[in-house]
Amino acid sequence: MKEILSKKTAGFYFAAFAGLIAIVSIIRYVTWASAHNAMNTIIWGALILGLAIDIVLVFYDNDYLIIAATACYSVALFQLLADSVGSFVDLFQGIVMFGDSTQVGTIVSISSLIGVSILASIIASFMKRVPDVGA
Amino acid sequence: MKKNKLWTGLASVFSFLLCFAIIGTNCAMSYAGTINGALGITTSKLVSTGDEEAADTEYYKSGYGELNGENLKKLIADTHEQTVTEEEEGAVLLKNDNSALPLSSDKLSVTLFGHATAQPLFRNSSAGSGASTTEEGVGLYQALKDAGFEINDTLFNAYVESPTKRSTAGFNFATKETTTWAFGEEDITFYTDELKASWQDDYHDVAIVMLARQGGEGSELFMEDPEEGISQLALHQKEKDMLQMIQDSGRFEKTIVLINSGNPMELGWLDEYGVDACLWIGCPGEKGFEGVANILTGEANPSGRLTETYAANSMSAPACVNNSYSNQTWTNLDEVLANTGDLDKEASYYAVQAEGIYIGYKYYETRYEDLVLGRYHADGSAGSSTGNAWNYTKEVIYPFGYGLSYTTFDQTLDGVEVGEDTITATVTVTNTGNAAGKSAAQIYAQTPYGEYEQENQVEKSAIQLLDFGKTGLLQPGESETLTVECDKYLLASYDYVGAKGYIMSGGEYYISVGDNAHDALNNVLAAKDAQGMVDLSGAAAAGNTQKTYTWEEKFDAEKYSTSEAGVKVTNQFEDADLNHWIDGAVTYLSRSGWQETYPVAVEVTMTEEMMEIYNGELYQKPEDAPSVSDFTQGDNQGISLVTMHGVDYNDTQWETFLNQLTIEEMASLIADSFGTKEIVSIDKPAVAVGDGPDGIGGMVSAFDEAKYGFTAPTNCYTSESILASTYNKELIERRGELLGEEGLFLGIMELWGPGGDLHRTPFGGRNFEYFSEDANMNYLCEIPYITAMQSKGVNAGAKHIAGNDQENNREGVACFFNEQAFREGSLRGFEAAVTEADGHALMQGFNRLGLIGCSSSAALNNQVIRNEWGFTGHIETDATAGATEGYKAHYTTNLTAGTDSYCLDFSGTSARVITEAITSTDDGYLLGSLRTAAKNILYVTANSNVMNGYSADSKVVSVTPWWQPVMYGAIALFAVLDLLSIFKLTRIIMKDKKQSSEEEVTAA
Repeated sequence: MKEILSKKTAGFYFAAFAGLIAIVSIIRYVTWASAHNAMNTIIWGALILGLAIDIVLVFYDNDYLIIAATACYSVALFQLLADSVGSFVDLFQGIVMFGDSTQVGTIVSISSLIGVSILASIIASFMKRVPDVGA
Repeated sequence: MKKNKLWTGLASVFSFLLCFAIIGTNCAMSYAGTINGALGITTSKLVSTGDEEAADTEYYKSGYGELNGENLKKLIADTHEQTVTEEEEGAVLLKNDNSALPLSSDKLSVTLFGHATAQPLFRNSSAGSGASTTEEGVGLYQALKDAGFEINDTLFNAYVESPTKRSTAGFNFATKETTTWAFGEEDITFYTDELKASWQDDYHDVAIVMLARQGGEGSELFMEDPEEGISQLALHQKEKDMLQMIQDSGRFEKTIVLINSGNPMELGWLDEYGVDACLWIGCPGEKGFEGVANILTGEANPSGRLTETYAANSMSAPACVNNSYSNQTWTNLDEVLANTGDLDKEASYYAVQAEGIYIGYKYYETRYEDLVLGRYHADGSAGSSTGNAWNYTKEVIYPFGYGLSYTTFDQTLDGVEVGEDTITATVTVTNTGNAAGKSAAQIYAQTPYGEYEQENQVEKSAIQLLDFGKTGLLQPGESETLTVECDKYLLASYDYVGAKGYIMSGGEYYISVGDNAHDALNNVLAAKDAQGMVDLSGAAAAGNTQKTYTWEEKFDAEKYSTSEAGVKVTNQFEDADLNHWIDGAVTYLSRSGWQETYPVAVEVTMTEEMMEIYNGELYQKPEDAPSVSDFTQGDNQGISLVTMHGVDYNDTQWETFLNQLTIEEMASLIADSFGTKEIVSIDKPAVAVGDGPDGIGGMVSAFDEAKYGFTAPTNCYTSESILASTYNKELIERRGELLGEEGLFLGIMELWGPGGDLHRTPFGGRNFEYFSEDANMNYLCEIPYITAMQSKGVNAGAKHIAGNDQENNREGVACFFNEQAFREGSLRGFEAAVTEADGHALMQGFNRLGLIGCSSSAALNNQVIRNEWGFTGHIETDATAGATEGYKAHYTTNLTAGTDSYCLDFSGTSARVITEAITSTDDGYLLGSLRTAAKNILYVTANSNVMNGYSADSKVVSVTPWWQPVMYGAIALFAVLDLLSIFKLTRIIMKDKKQSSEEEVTAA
């Protein structure tokens, strides 16, 4: 592993950071969603797929994979927000009807984590993750 | 940067944007109705054939004439004036020692105390108009300024700038706390020496203290709040400290307290803090504080009377024993949840309404009579706030019907005529004081409570409101004779044990006029030659026999055994009585033994038999169900919806009309998203509905600028409890009329309102938008309100039928009750909406009637509402929000149980589920139910103002909202850019590979 890491550049670390944050996102989402009848296969599936891609990237660098990781995290983020529209409506209307406004804080914090993964993935996409051969 | 990294990065960015566009579009399409409403987009338009002008297509006319900007301005001005008048006549003067009010014009230099003065409670969080939160809202400060008051700005500005805020039942995004509840009053340390100096030399004519209590939809007021662990309706330490500071300062000539709350505060402390006058102002809405200012200055003379009891201790109401904060979970909860597909939160709680009919004054006054008469153990300690023998004056501060004026009145009961169906009371009211004012004549009744009633558990309130009237403005010395025609039906009692129907008890009946319920009861007791009556202060009271009328009735179980619709009225809710399932599980409060039957918390273990019902999915396709092919659908005969305007509900033409529609078209109607989509085949336009009741909210809550040349929010009227407290049917009717006019200018088909539920306890989060603790008051208020609104072609949808009397756990809470309490209580307010006012819509409650949700109750929807009451219109759920699971998702069960439409089903889930169920199982029975629902919805639509401008030849065409092609365009754009980026990346990679290969070959 030490050998692998020694051959990486900044882009790699952004991708790895995206994966690490994704682990936290998965744990937080699954813990929260299972307790609030909010589990959505698309969300946790996309997160796990994104994480898996980031893990593959540790051993095998590929431009298409980092794009796919970004897409996976994006699907998870927007699906979570789409699923939570009712809670936001309740929050802004000051009522208890469509969702659970008390969960908005948690939803936003999980969304923020996923957003960090997306941002890190996009940055990693623009950067080299391994040194140029011969450099 | 290398080119391949640039394209990789861009592909990532475009992938992100593409995901946003696809999922965002999908989400937006689910909420299309909401977005269209918010953007003011109508998805259909009328293609004129020219015949509209030739024919008279103005089926509902505005009293303002043409619907244009000039007339809209007149309407808006009238709605503002109405709100001020409602407040002037609905605010209740509770205390006015030494004529502290009105204030003289040279004594208007005041200091405002209490954080609520800077954060006035216009209304609680709920549906309805939000105008009070816009610049249109006039708070106390502005209203007093406009009325000529000089206000201590130093203290007021300190309140404004203070970080202290009363919570509004929303989530605190900043703190991420699960509840943002905050009491919202300043600590005594807030009042620095500098602030105290501000009223030493000036602004000390009057200390005006405003105290607020706020609940809202989904937010009950606390029985033990986080502030001090006491009733939210009690005076709290911060308020005590503030009042003590005011009193100790010795600077103020007068202290006036304003109660800015939709719920009754516990006010036994007014004397303790030297309060000279106290005025309950409820939730005044957008302009109502101007009315408050007018009362303070004497510009208006208060004439409001309470529609609920102000108890010394709110917890002393027997309903509080099994209230929302004391709802229990099934003792075998795990087993219950394992046996139901409903969500845990909506299947866990139950409420045993062991108080029976004894809600509000019906409890306090009835126990008082039995205390005076020394019977039924009324003096027991059960339910006593002191822990000692129950004592009326220790329990009640201000009774139902109470209110003071700046003048005095004398009321005489001139005569009573008891007819077959009506009782006519004639009351002469004379202004015996020195100021002009209005007075409400409150007509009360007592019916017999004898052996039959005790044997058959027919409970009787010792006094009950029968009807009321109000004088015009009487000058000093002036008199007016009011003739109040009362509905004799309201004297009947529902006997769920013996006759299993309504009975007229045999024995002595009393009619009494009184200044309030307690006063009227004392008059009745005087007529009974009783001794030992007391007034509100505990002093001996004699009662006035001249204000009573007595007659005899024979026992009669036939008179009201059949409804006016010709249907036998008999038990329908036996399974909502817990004793039906578990023998002796609950003892209902009975005046035959106050001490023995006072409610206790009831623990319930759900039986297997109960669980079968509780599971909720009750519908199964009947074996003899017809086939879908037995019905004709999609057979377009060219009959447009407008031609069904005025066609009788039972006319066979409706069947031919329905044959034109496809299953999908009919199903689209049941998914209500504050309106329904257009159906071009029958020239039905897309229609919008409003959500009340204190004003028109929902998707259409502002007037169309393009149509009227300006925009303005719909009016926020006073809380419904203030409106009822006016005891003025003309004002109530005017409210309905103005809402109807606003609806006409907005072009909405119906408005969800008025609220008809009970103030079962003082803590109800939505008590402010329901009329009263008294079902008869609800009954009486709904009639003029709904009749007037519907005269403008805006259908009235009273909500939420029935038993929806708590906000905590409201979704799915299992309410157990006996049928007398239910029919004479929860149902009664809605009964008049149908039987007397011909209301065309009803919205159900979230609760269950026993084990069965309101939406799944055929007994409620089909038997009582439609058959007994003769309802023609549509019945809608409360917000299902497109539920795909839980008890809200029992679509087939609900449809076949008489529910027509699904509230706020933006995603059209109900339509999809029903269509799938019909077509996949060839279920003609379900199709028949869908046809009935479609008919009910279309009947209401056809008979509404949205048909104005349509003739038989009018054509409706669909309009695609502009945002939809924009969203699809965004998907296409991002997809193209994403693919282009990937294509470019691929080319570079291929090129690099090729180059590498060539280099390797060259190197080799």
